[in-house]
This record gives sequence, C-alpha cells and structure tokens, in this order.
Amino acid sequence: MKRTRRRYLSFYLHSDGSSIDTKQLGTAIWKNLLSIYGEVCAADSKLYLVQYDEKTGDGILQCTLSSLDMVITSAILIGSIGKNLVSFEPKRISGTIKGIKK
Amino acid sequence: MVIDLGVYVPDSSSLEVFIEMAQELGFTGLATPHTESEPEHLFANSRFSVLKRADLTGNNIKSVRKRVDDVRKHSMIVSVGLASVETANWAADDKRVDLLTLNHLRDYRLRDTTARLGAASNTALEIKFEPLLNLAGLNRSKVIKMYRESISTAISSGMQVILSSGAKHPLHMRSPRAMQYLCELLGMEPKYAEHAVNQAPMDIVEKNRRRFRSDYIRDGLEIIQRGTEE
Repeated sequence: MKRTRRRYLSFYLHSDGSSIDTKQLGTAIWKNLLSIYGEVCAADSKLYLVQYDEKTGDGILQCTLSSLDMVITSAILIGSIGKNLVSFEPKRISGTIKGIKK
Repeated sequence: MVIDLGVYVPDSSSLEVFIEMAQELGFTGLATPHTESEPEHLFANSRFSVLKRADLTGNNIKSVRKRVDDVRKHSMIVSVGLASVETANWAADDKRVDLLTLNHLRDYRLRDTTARLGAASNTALEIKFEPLLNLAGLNRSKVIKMYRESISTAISSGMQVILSSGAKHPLHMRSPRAMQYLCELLGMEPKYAEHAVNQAPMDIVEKNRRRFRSDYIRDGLEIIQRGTEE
C-alpha cells in the first residue's frame, strides 16, 4: 500500500476571549470540511488536530497533502464555534512536525 | 501593502478594535463607510490607513449618478451594488466608480456585457466573503454558486475581481493569506487569487490617491511642474 504524504499546518485561532477546547475546534473543522467538500474528501483528509493551546490559540493540525488546501479553506470558513465568534489564521506548512516547530 | 476594501465598522468607537485586528492579520489599511469626512486617515504612526468608502445602491440610473457626483470628491472608494442591468452597465462604464459589488441577497448576476464595460473602464467586481462565514449547507452552496458564476464571467471578460471581507465584526476578518484560499474556493487560479487580494485593491487606492492630489486634473492629465511668474 502506497504511503500517503502528510502535511502539518500551524495556525492561530482568534477568538473573543472565551476558550474553545480541542474537541470543539476539531469537530468544527471536520463538519465544515464535510459540508463543503463532502464525505469522501473528509474521510480521505485524515485530519487530526495534533495540538492546540486553548489559552494562546496556537495549534498544529495534520492532514494529507492532497486535502491540505481543502482543510485550510474549511477551517477559514468557520465563523463561530458554539456562540463564540472565531477567525482561523493559517501560519506555516511543513512536511514534518519538527519543521513546523522550528 | 495589503488593504481590505470592505469593512463595515458599526460606529466610530469600535474603529480601534478593527484596526488592531487588521494589523494583527497583516493589513496596512481598510476602507469603511463609517469614518471621518476626509478620504484617508492615518493611524499607528502613519503605518495604517483608514479610507472612506461610499456604498451606493439603486435601480434608477439618475439617482445613482447624482449620488456618485456627491460622494466621489469625499470618498477614496466608491462602490455601486449590482442591481438592474441598466444601473450595473452604467456603473461599470463610469470611471468614477471603483467597484461593482455583488450582493448575495439579491438574485443579480454579472452579465458579460457589464463585465466587458467594467474591464474597459477599470471598474472591478467586489466579492465579500462574510456571508460565507454565517451561512451553512444549501444556503452557503447557493451563494458559492452565485459568486463562482459571476467571478468566471468577470475573469473571462477581463474584468478585475477583488475579494474583501464585508466584516461587521473584527472576527469576521481573515488574513490576506486566508483570503487567497477563499479566492481559490471561488474559482480563481492561485496567481490571480494573490493579485485579487494583495495587488488589485492597492492599485485602486493608488489610482484614487493620485486623483486627490492637487496636481491631478483628469485621467492622463496632471500638472508635472508649475511655472513661476516672472
């Protein structure tokens, strides 16, 4: 079986002060991905929230290279999580977790 | 230099929060209808510009033309909402109008003829992404369809497309890089998307800054050097 190429994306989540937990954020990105690009794309994306700091808003997510643009677009289109307005800002993309943490 | 041409600051007291957010995201300016009377204001040690924008709508050419006459001298950006074919064609052809704005609530699409007129007189098509943040499912799909069709018409006719936020809250704003991803969702090529976010809005502002200089007479005619009376 061919190995899938993965990419890591570091991001910053702007919010209005209220903390958003990792699960809520992951679900919101997943839901938007599913809504915009469909079930097959959501399944193939292998989306995984590697880390997310609820206090600072910094985080890293992992997905396949082929679905990277779609994952980023889906995350950008999240307007609110629950009742909290948010703004997703993509920062850096890398092929390794080490590279993104540099 | 990246400018968001469509920010809707609700009142002057919240302008500072919008400026802070815009700077954090990497913008060097924003255009909003709710600002002081001058076309351009500088903030943060002259590193950030707040530009005055005028939004005009109407189905009647006469009333829109009269309002353009009134606002052009005081506004850095003049935008006319895409409404009836007559008004849209007139606005696209008028050099004083900078932007033809697509409204997702109205069922008006950009026509080929309007796009060709816009391309000839450098009027750009403005797309606001804020509705996409608040809608979901079928309703969002309908707006994306409408935007993609109009963008495709504009690009094939040579009319410039720009993306602005249409933000009514600071958290509705997105970074220029994020906006490029949204452009690609709406059917633009990566290079075109970069131009639609970074360069095209700046070109419109630069053109209008020249207009507001005292040496400007009309398009293509400027005073380069004044003679001395001896």
